[in-house]
Amino acid sequence: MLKLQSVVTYYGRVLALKGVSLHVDHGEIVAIVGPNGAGKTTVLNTISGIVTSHSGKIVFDGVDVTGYPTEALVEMGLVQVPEGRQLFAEMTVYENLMLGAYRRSRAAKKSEVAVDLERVYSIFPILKERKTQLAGTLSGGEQQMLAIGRALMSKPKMLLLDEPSMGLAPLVTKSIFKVISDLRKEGTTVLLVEQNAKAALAIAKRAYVMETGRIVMEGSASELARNPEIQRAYLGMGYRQIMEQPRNA
Amino acid sequence: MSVGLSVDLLAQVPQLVISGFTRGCIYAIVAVGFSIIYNSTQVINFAQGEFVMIGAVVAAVLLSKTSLLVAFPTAVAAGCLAGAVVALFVLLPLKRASVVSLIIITIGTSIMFRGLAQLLWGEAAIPAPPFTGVVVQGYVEDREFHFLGAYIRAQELWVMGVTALLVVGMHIFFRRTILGQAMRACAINQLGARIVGINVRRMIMASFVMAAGLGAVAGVVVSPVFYAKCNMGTALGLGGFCAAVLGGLGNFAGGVAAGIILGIVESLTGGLLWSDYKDAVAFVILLVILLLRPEGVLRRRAEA
Ligand SMILES: Nc1ncnc2c1ncn2[C@@H]1O[C@H](COP(=O)(O)OP(=O)(O)O)[C@@H](O)[C@H]1O
Ligand SMILES: [Mg+2]
Repeated sequence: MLKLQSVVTYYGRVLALKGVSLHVDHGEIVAIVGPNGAGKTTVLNTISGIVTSHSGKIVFDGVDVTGYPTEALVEMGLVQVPEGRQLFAEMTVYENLMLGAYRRSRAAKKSEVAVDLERVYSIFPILKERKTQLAGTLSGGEQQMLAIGRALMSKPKMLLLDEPSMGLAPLVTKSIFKVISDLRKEGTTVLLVEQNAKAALAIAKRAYVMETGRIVMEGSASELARNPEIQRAYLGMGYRQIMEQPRNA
Repeated sequence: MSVGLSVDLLAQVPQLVISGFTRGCIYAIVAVGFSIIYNSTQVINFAQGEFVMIGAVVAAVLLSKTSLLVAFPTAVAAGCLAGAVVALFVLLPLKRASVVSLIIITIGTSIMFRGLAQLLWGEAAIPAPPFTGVVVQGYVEDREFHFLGAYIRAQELWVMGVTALLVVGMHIFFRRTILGQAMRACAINQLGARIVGINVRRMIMASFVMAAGLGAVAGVVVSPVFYAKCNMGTALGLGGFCAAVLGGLGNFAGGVAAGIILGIVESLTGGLLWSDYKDAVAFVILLVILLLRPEGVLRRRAEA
């Protein structure tokens, strides 16, 4: 479904990705874990065309999409739920969701978009209750739901989720992760970036560990969860400490 | 004697209010243009007044040769083209530049447009016939209506009607259409806009073309009232900027109200107090606002 081959990305002169290769098969949840500053967000931003890679190759759905602009990828069904949600704070919940369907607004029938809206409302009933409320006034958990809902409005084949648990209480995180694994069951492929390695490894099939711009370990999620090194670095400290872990972990 | 004079002056008030209202409509449209571009780029486009000039001059030149049905769209297209030129060749290639340098570049662009117009059409005022009127000896004379102790010209009604249409149209566009929503989204969260697949560069282009087109429409309807002149854009741009700031940059309703108020205040100042200082009104108001409330006066209330 998605394949990266030796992808290198710079920010100006700063080398952020030092040759990243990974793959996500159809219908999988794959996690990328690692400390703050490892380059996880940069991987997602490079895939979705927010930043351009310097070299390497990105293949999505059998097409070489290296250097494609974001809007083309969204149209192909590759959609990011970004770090910090990036909602339209001064717009209503409903308007945010409709903008999620922006790429389809010309081609798709109104009735199709309405069906998808109902689907999002059935996954996150609270969004329906709050549909006329401004996005900026929602709680953290509701904002994350809206960010996922907005992405779902574009009918994605694959979701790139960047730290969906960030700043959320454990119970809210749990319900968001439940939705993510339900989405996979309905056929959506997921690449999940998380600092909360414990939660991520619990729902992922496979995982990659990133440090300072490169992948340092990979394997099945259960294998990695049992790995003593991973346990010490990412799992041993318990849930809350992982969230606040410094970058030199 | 002095009493007689002041009664005379007071009798002029309705007339001054009407002509001020007409000019205020143009300020209002220019203010909306400032806000559209400010919203999508944070840039204050000081070439905004020149779009009005381009619309007015092109329309006036064409109206002496062809009908309004040809002149109007051509003049608006010329304005839109000027907007696209600013976006395409000036702002987008320099997207790494700071907002302040971009603003200074728009000042340069405005001087360029003025010079170009002077080169093409000269410095003299170009008269334009009113849209509707009666032909007297091969010359179109505007109709006049009596209204609350003043005369109002049909062309002034055109200005007010077109302004109302544009303002309502803009409101519907930004609230009800997906393209308008996408343009708002770019202003609110550019990264979020890219993530949902909005082409932000294209939206910036669209905002320049729209703001310029609006300005040009204002220029076309007002050319029979003011005469079209290559240097008319400066004062209109300044008044529109003043109105946009007064109404809170980015706030359409505030800018429209402030534009009309400014037009009326200017006209009353010029007619009743000191005609020489009429053009200073916008400057003085602007200075006072920037000193007291840099975020704009009407903003709070409009957003509440
Ligand atoms: N826009 C940017 N400009 C310059 N450097 C950046 C930018 N974004 C991230 N970086 C740097 O790139 C590295 C990787 O960052 P990031 O991908 O955000 O890591 P993570 O998501 O794993 O926390 C960090 O050293 C960070 O400081
Ligand atoms: Mg990150």
